[in-house]
Parts: sequence; structure tokens; C-alpha cells
Amino acid sequence: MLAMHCVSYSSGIGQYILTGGSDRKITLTNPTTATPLQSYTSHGYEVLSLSISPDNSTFASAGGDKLVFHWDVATAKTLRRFEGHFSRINAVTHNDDASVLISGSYDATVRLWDLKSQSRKAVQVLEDAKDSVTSVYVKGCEVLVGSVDGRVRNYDVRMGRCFVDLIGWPVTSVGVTADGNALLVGALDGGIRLMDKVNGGMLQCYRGHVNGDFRIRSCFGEGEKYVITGSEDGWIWVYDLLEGKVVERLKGHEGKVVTCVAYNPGGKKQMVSSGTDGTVVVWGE
Amino acid sequence: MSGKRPRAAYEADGGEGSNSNSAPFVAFGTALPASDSETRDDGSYVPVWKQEVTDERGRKRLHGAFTGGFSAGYFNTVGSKEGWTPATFKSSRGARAKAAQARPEDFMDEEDLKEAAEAQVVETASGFSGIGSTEEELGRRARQVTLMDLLTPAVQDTMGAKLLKKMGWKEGQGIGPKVRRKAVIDDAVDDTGKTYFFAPTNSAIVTLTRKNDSKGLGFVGEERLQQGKELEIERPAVKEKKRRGGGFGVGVLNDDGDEEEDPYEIRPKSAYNRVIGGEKKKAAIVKKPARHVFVSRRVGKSKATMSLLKCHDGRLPLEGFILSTEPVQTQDGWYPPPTVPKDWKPASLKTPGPQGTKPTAAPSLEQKLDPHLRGKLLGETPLPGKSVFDFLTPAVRDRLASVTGNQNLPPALGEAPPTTYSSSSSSMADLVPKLDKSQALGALKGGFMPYADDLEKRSRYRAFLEVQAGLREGLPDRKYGMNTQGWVKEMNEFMGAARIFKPLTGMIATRFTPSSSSSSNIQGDTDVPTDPDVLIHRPQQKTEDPAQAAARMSMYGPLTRSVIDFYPSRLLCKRFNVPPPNYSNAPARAMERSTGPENKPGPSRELAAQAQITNMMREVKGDDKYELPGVEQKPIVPTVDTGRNEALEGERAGEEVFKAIFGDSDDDSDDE
Repeated sequence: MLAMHCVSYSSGIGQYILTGGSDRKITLTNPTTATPLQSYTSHGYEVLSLSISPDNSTFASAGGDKLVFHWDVATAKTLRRFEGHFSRINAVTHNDDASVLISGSYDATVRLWDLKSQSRKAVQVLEDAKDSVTSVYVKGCEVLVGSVDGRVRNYDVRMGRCFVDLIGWPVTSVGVTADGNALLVGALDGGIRLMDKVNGGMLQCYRGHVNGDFRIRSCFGEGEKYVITGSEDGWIWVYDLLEGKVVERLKGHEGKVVTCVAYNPGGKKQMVSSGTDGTVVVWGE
Repeated sequence: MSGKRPRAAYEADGGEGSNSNSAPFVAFGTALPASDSETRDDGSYVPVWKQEVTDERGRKRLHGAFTGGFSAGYFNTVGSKEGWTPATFKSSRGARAKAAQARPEDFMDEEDLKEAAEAQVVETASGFSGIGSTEEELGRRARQVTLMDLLTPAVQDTMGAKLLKKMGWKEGQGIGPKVRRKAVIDDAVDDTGKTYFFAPTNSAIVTLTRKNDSKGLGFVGEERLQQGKELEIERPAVKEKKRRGGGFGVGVLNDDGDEEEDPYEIRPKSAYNRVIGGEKKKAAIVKKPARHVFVSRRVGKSKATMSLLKCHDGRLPLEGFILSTEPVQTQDGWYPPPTVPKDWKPASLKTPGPQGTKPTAAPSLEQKLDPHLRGKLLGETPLPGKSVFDFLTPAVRDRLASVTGNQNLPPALGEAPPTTYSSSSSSMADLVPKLDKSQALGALKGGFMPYADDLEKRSRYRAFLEVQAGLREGLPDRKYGMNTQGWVKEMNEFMGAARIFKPLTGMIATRFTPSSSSSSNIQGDTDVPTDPDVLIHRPQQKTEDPAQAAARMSMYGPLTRSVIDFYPSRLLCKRFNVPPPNYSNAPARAMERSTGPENKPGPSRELAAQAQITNMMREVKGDDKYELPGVEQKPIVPTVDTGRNEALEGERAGEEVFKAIFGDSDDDSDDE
């Protein structure tokens, strides 16, 4: 079975999910009924990352074919394809108003693409990372870049500064709390750290799951009450955000690596997880 | 030809009939042929396609059509379409061209050559042919000898005849030793009882006919049937015997056997073979070696009669040999060696002379004697030269003996090498170029070792430096098989290298980090480390980044955080709905963005301080009072007064400056 690499809720209430994987297809599915609604087939290689625009009209995807695809959801056609990376693209995301597309690649660069103009060139290229960029996240005017060189770089566009936080292990997942004061950083030492954005200190560390070799996307759950992450042994671990203790362990994905978890953004008690066993599991309601 | 024509000719021509159209009035010479196309004049031109070729017999020739087309040259000419092909002329200083003698073959075409080859008969030169076999001799024998023969030169003797004549043979005699017999006169034996030596009777020459067919030996074929039994009778007995075994290529007609046997006789069916290869069994039986030979008991007992058995060719065995009755067993084609009888003594072996003169222990003593002892016994003064073994230790000598297998090597004396060797060593030491001790030590400690590609050479270089530095006694290492000249050359090269690769002194050394390569380990394998502190580099422990260390200890915070400048493009700021940072799009400053705390701008950005450079220069020059030229004057730091624009508010240059720059286009257009 072909591995599923990424899963994402639609914006807003999170009515639908998008999934992408090694089958080179992106599928739009209703998670509650498990009915596939649309499939988007243009990728020639595996799909490694997805990002849905806030208005749900478009989404972006990227993967092994070194191109960032900008899709129209309704017509299932690509609006734009951004070309410029020299290697596979690990992560792609929108900014808050979907005017800029940000992609991080194995070529250790982050490229920012302008969606408003018809320019083919990247608006800016961030070349500070010394190794493959595994994750990008945008919160407000801050672009967070996690890299295999063990650092999280927080590019503050407003201040014109970049805060480099050394984690020490290859960073696989980056997230930000809703208030924007803390970063959720997953690293390959098997720990997820909640980092203070202001001074770079560590607020909490969540340990227990297995993560030593693969990129596993973690997320906040239930209004940032929990930290949810997958594990390489097929379990899904739920930690209490403040306490740092294990709240729940969920078994799924037949012992294979859980590549990505996503919690419903609309307040629904639901989450989805994708695994290398090729399945997407919907948890909750 | 030009004469008056005879009347008969005149009248014949001019008369009736055949040649009526020829000119009748010709009185002299031959009349020209008629000028019409029917008749032909041999001298007239005839086109090729009309030409007809006849051979010497007047028959029409087909131009070699049956032998493969034209053979008579090119359209009845010699040569080819291209004409004559000239012979290549080649002559050089080494091989002079000779005037080629034209042979008849050069002018012969294929047909002629074929004819010539057919005409050729190879035969023995008359001088070497057999006796009586030459045609001349046979012819002379046939015809009557006349008086003319006396006048004509005698027929040359053949070589064989000449040789025989020299041996005493005379013509008419037989060949062989003389035979003692009674004289025979006119076919009547002389009965006087006296015997004389006579030359053997001359026997007729055996005519050997060449066998040029593929029939079996002795096959006669139908001739035998025609000639009947006379031929059979004439056949020699030996021949018949040979054929008895079943012959090679024996046909039905000359199948041997009884004379009465009719080759066309119809025999009972059992006499015929009905299976191909059925004879095989028969042949095997025939081949069996154990042929039953009847030997009467009486005869078999006596050795003398045994020896009378004849060999397969009907002759008696050689003298002293008897015919073996049982076949000899051979091993792999080799006959076993003859068994030597016990009491056999070689006839040629000479018994030793008088026994008493020599002591019996002498041979063993002789073996023990070595050259020295022997010389001593003989009273010789020992030679001044010494053997190699004198200098070998007994252990080495034993090893040598075991290797060579030669146990009686001279004893090893283990002498110290003579003084000449040490003196030569000292002379060798003179060859070693002298290097300053401190320099050698410096080069040893300096770290950089050349000849990384040749580790043996590197170890020799190290040894050389160690000797020069006084760390080691003796001579520097020498490559195996290298002659002294090459050695000295190499040492000079080492000395140059030591001068070049002396350690970085002073301040330069601090500016370079020695590489922590594994070269020191390799050196440790190749040469014996004398002093590990001096000679082996310990790879310097890589200092861990403090931030990294802090991260390892989960001490996240100011230690792990660093801030770098980030210059978002104007468009990006626009897309993010933020005003650009106040220094955004400042390309000049973008050049000098710092990357982290480890690369803070120091107090001095010069590569080397003034004093350090001066020190270095002093070391190089060897002059303690050396001062850097021109560095004393301070570089002018331009001070920018933002309140005043020098370009606008400064003093205006003189008029001539402008003139010089812009000039007057009328005056010199070249300057524009």
C-alpha cells in the first residue's frame, strides 16, 4: 500500500479533508461519511505537503516533482505551478490571507511565491537553513522554518529579523499556538518541545512517542488543550499541553508510521491521521 | 617480284572465269585485287569485327572461347587495352638495379606458357641417373657398336659408376664381395677342383615401376585373368607369404589362397558375409599375438636350437640374441630397464691399485677437511682474504645452511666487521648533508610532512630529520636498492624540504588550525615512533558549540537563540500587510549581515595586527629593527558631514579644470 504523507482539514469549520500520499493523488473527502468527493491528479511524484487557503477556494500542494501546485478546488485543475526549487519540496503553506505561498525544500531553501501577481519568480528566497527544510508555518507576519540542521528560524517580516532557535536535533514539525507566543517543535530525538517565542526558552517537552527517523507532523488538539502526535510504531499520542503528561494513546495504522495528524479546526471533536500503511483514520465524532 | 609476268599467268588471269574482274592488262608484277568489297586484300584494312583468326593449321580459331575468352592479347595484339605496362624500375644505393635479361616467358601469353609447361619433362640429370638406366646407355646397348663410337666421345659415367670404378668394379661385373667358386668356362663347370675368387654375377636391373594409382599393393586386375596362371607362378614366394594374413585392398580377383580357387566360383551361402562388419571378429582372431608355433620338444629344450628361430623377416636374430617367445610387457610405452645379474661386473671398472699405501679412514677424513685445513696440511700460507662466513653469526649460518640444504658450509665465526667498514661509514656520514639541528627539530615538530603520496619516502624523510636533529644515531635510511648517488640526491631534496616546511613561526602559526587528518596514524604504521609527544599529532578535540551543548542539555534560552538580520523584500512586506522594516532593501548593509553571535564584529577587522606583521617580517628578514614601510601613516578615515554636501557646497574648481575636462570642441576634437 502506498503511504499517505499529509492530511489537512479545510479551513473554516473543517468540513472536508484533503489527503495526499505516494499515490500521487490528492483526494478531497468528507471525513464523517468517508466519501471521496474529488481527486486531484497532476502530480508526477508523491505529494508531501498540502495547504488550503482560508477561503477554501484554492489549495496548494507540493512533493517530489519540485513544483508547487496551486489548485482550484472546484475545477480540480492547477491554476499555477511554481518552479524554482532544485529538490523535492517537503512543506508548503499559505500566509493568512493567501497572498503568499511559502514552500520549503530539500535544497535547504524556503521560497515565497506571490499569488497575487503573475510573476513566475519567487518573491524572496530564504537561504539561511543549512540543511533540508522540513516544515514551514506562517502565523501573522512570522514565517517559521524548521530544518534538519536542528534549528527553527522565525522570520519576522515586520521586524526584519530572524530568530534562530537551536533545538539540537533535526526538526520535523513546527507549529504556533493561537496567541502566537509559543512554538510547538517536533524533533527527531523523539521529543516535542513547546518553546517560548520571546526568549527561546523551553516551556514543556512531550516525550513518550517514537520519532527517530521519519517526519511526523504534530498538532494542537481541542483548542490547544492537548498536543497530538503520531508515532513510528503506529500509535497516536495525546499529551496534555501544560502538564506534558500522556493523556491518551490511540492505536491505529497497523503498527506503521503515523505521518501526520490534524485536528478539526471548527471545534468539532474530530481528528484525522495518515499513515504509511496507506490509510487515513478519522478519530472522534 | 617485279618482272615480266609469265604468259601463263597473264593468260590465266586475263582468261575466263574466276578472276575476271582483276585488271587484265597488267604485264608486270602482281595484279592488284579488285577494289570491290567482295574480294580481300591481305594488306588492306579490315575492321576488327570482320577479322577472322586461323591457327597455324588454317582452322578457324575461336579466340580462346573454350579456354575462357581472349587469350591472344588484346584484340589479336600483344599488350592490353592500356597498351604496354612498363616494368617498374627500382634502384637504390643498397640494391642496384640490374639490367633485366629478357626471357622468352616475358613474351609469352597464358596459352604459350601452358604449352611450355606441358612440354616440360622433369628428369634426372644424366650424370646422376642410375647405372644402365640412362637412355644413352640403353640405346648404345641396343645398337651395334660401330667404329664411329671410337671417335665420338665416350658416354659420361654416372656418379655411381665412377664410385664403383674407384672401388675396383669393372663394367660387366656384378656388385658385391668376390665369391670363391669353381671356374665356369662356356657353361661348363671346370672340374679341376680348383676354386677361384670371382666377381659376383651381374644381375639384371630391377625395374621399379612407379605406382601412381590408388589400387592395392600388388593388384594386377584383369591382366591376371588374361595372362592366366603363368603370372601366378611367376609371383615370388615371399610375396605370397606376405599376403596370407589378409591383405590391404585385396579384391575378389586376387584373393589369395590356393591356385585352384576360382574367383567366380559360387560357394555355399555360409561362405559369404551377410552382415557388414561381420569380419571384425575374424580380424580380432587373426590379430591375436599368440600364434601357435609348433616347436618340437627336443628343439625347445636346447637353447642353441631356440636361437635358430628366425625373425619375422626370415633372418636369424643378431648374434648373442635369442628370439623371445612371449611378448614384452611395456609400461606406458617404456620398456622396463634390463635386470642386472647379481654377479655382473663391469669390465671397464679398474680395481684400485696397491691398497696398503692409503689409510682406510682417508676418504672420510677428506670429506671433513675444509679448505683451511687442507691448506694447513699442505703447508700453504693462508690467503689474506676472508670468507663471508667469518662475519656471519652461527645462527645466520645455520639458517643459510637450512635454506640451501648445504650442511658443510664453513663455520660462522661471527667476527666484528673490520675497521675499514666503519671508516667507510664515516665517509658515508660525510655524504649526508648537514642540516641545522633546530631546523630539523622544527621540521619534525612543525606538523606538515611532505610526501603524503609516498609514505616510505616520508618515513625516510622523517628518519633523516631525526638523524639531523640528533634524536637518532647512525645514517639516515636509504631506500632498498638505491645507489649512493641517488641517496645523496634524495637527502639534499629532504634538506630543501625541511627548509621549506619548517614550522610556522610566530603569529602565523596561530592563524592556522592544524588539520586533524589521519596522516599521523598512517605514519605510526610505517615507521617506528620514537617520541610520541614529538612526532605524532594528537587530533585536536573539536570544541563543541556552546549553543549545541546547551541544546543537548535542554538549556534552551539565550544560549540557543541567535538573531540574524532578515531583509524581506518590499513586495513581501506588502503581501504580509506590514510596513517594510526601516532598513529594508538596503543592499549595502545586506552585505555585512552577521550570522549569529560567534561572528560578532571584533574590535579590529584587520587580518593581522600591525605589530604581528612587523614581527613576522622581522623573522623573515632576520633583522630585529625592521619596520614595515609606510604602514605607520594612518589610513584616512573619511568623515562624512551629513549637514554639508561637499559636491554642491564645496569650493568651485578653477576654470582651467573645467576646460581641461570638457575642453573646447573646436580646438581639439580628438580629446572629446
